[in-house]
Amino acid sequence: MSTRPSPSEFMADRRGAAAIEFALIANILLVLLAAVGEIALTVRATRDVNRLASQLSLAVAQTCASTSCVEQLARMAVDRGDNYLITAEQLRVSAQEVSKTNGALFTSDGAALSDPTATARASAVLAEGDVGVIVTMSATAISPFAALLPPTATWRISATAVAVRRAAIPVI
Amino acid sequence: MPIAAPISRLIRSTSGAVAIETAAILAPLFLILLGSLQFSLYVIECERLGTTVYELSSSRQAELTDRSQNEVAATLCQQIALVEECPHTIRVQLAPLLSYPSIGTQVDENIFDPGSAGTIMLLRTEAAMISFIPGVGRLPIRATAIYMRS
Repeated sequence: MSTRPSPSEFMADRRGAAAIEFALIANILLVLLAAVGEIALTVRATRDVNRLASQLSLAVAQTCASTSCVEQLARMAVDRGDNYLITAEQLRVSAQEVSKTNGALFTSDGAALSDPTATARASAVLAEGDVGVIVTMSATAISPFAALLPPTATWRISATAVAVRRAAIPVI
Repeated sequence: MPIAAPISRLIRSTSGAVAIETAAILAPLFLILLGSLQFSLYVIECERLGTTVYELSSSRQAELTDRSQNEVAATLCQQIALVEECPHTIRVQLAPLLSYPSIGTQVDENIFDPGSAGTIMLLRTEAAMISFIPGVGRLPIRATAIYMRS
C-alpha cells in the first residue's frame, strides 16, 4: 500500500511550511547582504580611484613640461598599476595636456576638448592662459561577493582629475 | 522491541521543538552578525589607514622625508586599532614609482627610499587586522598613495 499523499492531501499539508518559507527568504537575504557589502567596497574603490587620479594629475602636472612627458608618465602609471591599485583592477589611465585660451579648452594638438566631464573639471580649475593636465582613470572594483550577485552588479569606476601645471591644487 | 517505543515517541513529540529550532538557527545568525561586525570594522580600518597614507603623501610630506621607516610605521599605527603589535607588524614601502616593477609585488619593508625633490613617489603600506570569526585568519588592510616629492 502506497503512503504517497494525493495532490489534495499534499496541498493541505502544512508540515514543513516554515522550513520552505525560510529557504525562500534566506536566498533573498543572502543576496541583500552581499549587495550591501558590494556597495561598501565599491564606494571605497571609487574613493581610491578618485584619490589616485587626483594625486597622479598633480604629480604629472608638477613634473612634466612637455606632452611627451605627460604621455610617458601615464604609460608608466598604467604599467605599475598592480602595485598601487588595491581595491580595483583592470586599470586604464590616460593623461593629456590642456590649455585655456579665450575661455575655450584645447588639448596639446590644438583640438578642442570634447569630453564633457573633463571639460567641466578643467573649466573650473584652469584660469585664462593656464596649462594643466587631465588624468582620466577607470577601473573595476574588486568584488569578493561576485559569485552571489548577478554579473550586471559590477560596474566600471571612472575618475577625472585636473591639476594646473606647477600649482598645488588638485581637483577630483 | 523495548527500545522502539521511546524512540517512536521521541520522533512524534513536538514539545521543545521551538527550542531546538532556535538553537539550530542561532548559530548561523550569530555568525552573520559577527561577519557584519567584522566587515564594518575592516572597512573602517582600511579607511583610517588610507586617509592617513593620503595625508602623509599630501599635506604631511615632511614626515615621510625627514623621519625613519619605524617612525612612519608608528605614525600609521596611531590611527589603526585592530592590528596586533602594530609598529612591528605593519609593512611600509616607499620608493620612486619608476623603481617599481611592471608586475604587482608584495609590500617590501626593506625598501624605504624617500627619493629626491621632483620625483614621483609611491607609498605602500600593509598590515594584518585581527579577526574574531572562527576559521578566518588575519585580514590584510592596505593603502597606497602617489605623490611628487616637493
